[in-house]
Amino acid sequence: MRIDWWTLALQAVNVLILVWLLGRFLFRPVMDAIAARQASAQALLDEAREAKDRAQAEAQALKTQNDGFVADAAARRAEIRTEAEAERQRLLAQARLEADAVVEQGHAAIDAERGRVAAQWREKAASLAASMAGTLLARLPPEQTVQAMVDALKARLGDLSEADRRSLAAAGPVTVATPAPLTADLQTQVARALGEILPDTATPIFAVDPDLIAGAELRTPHAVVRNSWRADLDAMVESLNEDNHARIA
Amino acid sequence: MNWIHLASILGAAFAISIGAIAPALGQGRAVAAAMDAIARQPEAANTVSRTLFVGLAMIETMAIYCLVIALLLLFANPFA
Amino acid sequence: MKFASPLESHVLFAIGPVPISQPVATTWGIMAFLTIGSWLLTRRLAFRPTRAQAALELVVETIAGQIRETMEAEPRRYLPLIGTLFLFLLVANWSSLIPGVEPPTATLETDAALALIVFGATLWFGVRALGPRAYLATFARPSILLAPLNIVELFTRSFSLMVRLFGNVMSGVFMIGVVLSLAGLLVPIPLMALEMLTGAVQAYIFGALAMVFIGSAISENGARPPSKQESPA
Repeated sequence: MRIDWWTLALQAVNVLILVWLLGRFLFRPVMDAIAARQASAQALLDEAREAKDRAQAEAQALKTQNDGFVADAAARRAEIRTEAEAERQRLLAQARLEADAVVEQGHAAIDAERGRVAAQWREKAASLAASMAGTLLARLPPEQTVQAMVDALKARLGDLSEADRRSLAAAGPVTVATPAPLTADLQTQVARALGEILPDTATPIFAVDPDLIAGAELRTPHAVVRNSWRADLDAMVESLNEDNHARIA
Repeated sequence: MNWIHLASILGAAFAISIGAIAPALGQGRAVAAAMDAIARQPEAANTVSRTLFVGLAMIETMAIYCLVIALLLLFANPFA
Repeated sequence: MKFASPLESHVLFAIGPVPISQPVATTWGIMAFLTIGSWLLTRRLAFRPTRAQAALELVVETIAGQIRETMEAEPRRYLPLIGTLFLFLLVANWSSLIPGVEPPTATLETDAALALIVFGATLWFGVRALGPRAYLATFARPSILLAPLNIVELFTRSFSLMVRLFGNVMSGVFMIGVVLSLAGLLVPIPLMALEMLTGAVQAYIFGALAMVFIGSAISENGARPPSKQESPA
């Protein structure tokens, strides 16, 4: 066996050339490509991480904003609630006032009605009393009653003070009103009596007033001296009324 | 055919026979150990079998050496 | 029946004083195939890899990963040598499948040239990584007494590298030739399949051992990393 040195040397050179060739054409480009891809993948990852960070920051900002909105909404809601409460209170007060006014009105109306009814009743009572008095009085002879009433007038006039009497006399022509026409005898008697009490007056005029029921009244243009059942009944009804009012109050 | 040829042929046959027996024993042990390892750790079967192949090739090289010697004796006997 | 000696290589022709033997011519063919193939594949490397580019990148990445694991170094500097050794051996071993082609690795000279390149690369990278003084100092580890043994080992492991590759490929080729001359058709097919497996494994082993040798040379811990160092010889 012999070693072919030429072949050995040529093969060594061949393999070295092949090492260079493959390094030039295969390994370097492929390694470069792999490195480039790795670099780009790294860049991509970095970019993705960056984008993720950005998105997270954005989400954080939005969340903060949202929280702000929520707080704002809560504040606004509280404000509105307060306002509504105030409005409600106001409306309530107003309604209460109105209701009070209505109740007051109702009370007033009831009072008025009651007063009206009372007045009606009073009127009725007065007229009933008047008619009853008239009926009763009709059973008496008229002279007697007139005589009594004229006497009562005379007594009443006598009760007046001097100043009153004078002012009465100065008032002018005096009218004597009676429910029934007086007889001439009575007229002279009355005139005489008046002259005694009121010396300065002229002759009185005689008038008839059936409303008086019974009695005699002295009337001047400025003053009236009441002296009749009508006046008495009126006074009684009035006092009754006042009693009633006092009881209600 | 002189005695050198005869001795060369005998030597070649002897070299091959020895070079077949010993690596066979070695490979048998190696395979047995690898099977044992795979049975213990089936998840390491890949690594074990890869290493086993390399090891078997290494052991096989022993037989190859003997074969080379035999071929040298037969074809490139320096004394023939 | 007379066989041609598998230990001899015949000269095809001569360029001037240089005889060109058959393995040299085959090697040229393989070189052309590899170079043109890689040039075609890497001519347009896209960012989005095609199927072929993905396969190519897978191969290169696998080799680089092996270098990174075994040598514990950045693979970029060693990738051309180791990768070329592996690819060339793979293609050369499998070239026996083409009828009439005898693989160049089946001749002793090619294997000797490859082992010589690994030997030179070991020294070169060791000196380059550590400096001449520190690299020489690694031979005195773990003790100065072992320095002669380490130096002898440097040669014997290269020799065993050569003989291992040569024996495996040549025996396969020889065996197939014998069986072919005996039985003819179809029978050598299992043997050829075995030969393919052997060729791939031998290419891997050769590359791995080259990595181990260079890796042990460039590491500070001396010439004996724990794994795959024990070369039978």
